[in-house]
Amino acid sequence: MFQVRIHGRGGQGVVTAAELLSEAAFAEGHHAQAFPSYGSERTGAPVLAFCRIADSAIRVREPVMASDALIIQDETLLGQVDVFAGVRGDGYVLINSTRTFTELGLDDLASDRAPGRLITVPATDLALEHLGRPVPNAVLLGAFAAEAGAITVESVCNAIRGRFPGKVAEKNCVAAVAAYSFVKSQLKEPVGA
Amino acid sequence: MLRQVEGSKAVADTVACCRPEVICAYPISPQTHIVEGLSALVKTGELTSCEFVNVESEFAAMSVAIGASAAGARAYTATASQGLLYMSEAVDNAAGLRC
Repeated sequence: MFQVRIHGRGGQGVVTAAELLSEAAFAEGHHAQAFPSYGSERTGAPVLAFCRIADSAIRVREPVMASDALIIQDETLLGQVDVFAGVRGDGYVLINSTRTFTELGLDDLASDRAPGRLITVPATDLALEHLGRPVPNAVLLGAFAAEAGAITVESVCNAIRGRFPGKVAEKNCVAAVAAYSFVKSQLKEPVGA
Repeated sequence: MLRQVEGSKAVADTVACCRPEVICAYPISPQTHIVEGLSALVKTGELTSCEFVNVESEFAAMSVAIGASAAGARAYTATASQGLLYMSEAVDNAAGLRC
């Protein structure tokens, strides 16, 4: 079973991101579940969402504590919430940020992880460029498809089209594919370059 | 064909299959997507012969369900969390009025 935890803030589409991820996985023939966890509904409040992907029925209904992958939609959570709690040593971490690991205070984490297991992507910038709105969720799913490979970017786009109306869906798909290409090109760069 | 749906939507679809005649709900948090799904089914006409009543509280929601039931209609409502707490007095009443 592949377990994903998504951290973000109210209004950033955290819940939708987990649902889209599960829909993409389901369309690829997997079993999948997604559900959120948050307190009072308030824009800007820390929000958690979970997604599990498996090849057999998923019985567990608990929050994801030990995760195979983390998607962090808002870098300001890094100092406020213990976002890395329970993430596996060889798990994938994806952070929405334009800053370097040093600037984010993540040098220790970066040195502990294999190349390609800790990635930043300027998802909010890509969202602003392609959607005109700072909603990074679909963009991050495109990046996640490139980093973890648990689902394809095509399935992500199909899930987006199943959720949003025509133009909004297409813009999100373009942004997701842009993020996918961004991460793929980053992963191709030789280590240490 | 297999289809993935949100749990609340699955509940709404199942309730619709039971042909409810009155559905009442207080439509803000902590309400779930169950009555939201049902209201959409009533609005689009997929669920016919059903009156959807927007009430002013969870207490009223269950009270309307009790009243509709007493008049012979099949009634449904849903809530969650502190909404259920607010509804609790009427929930006991509904259980006690079964015959």
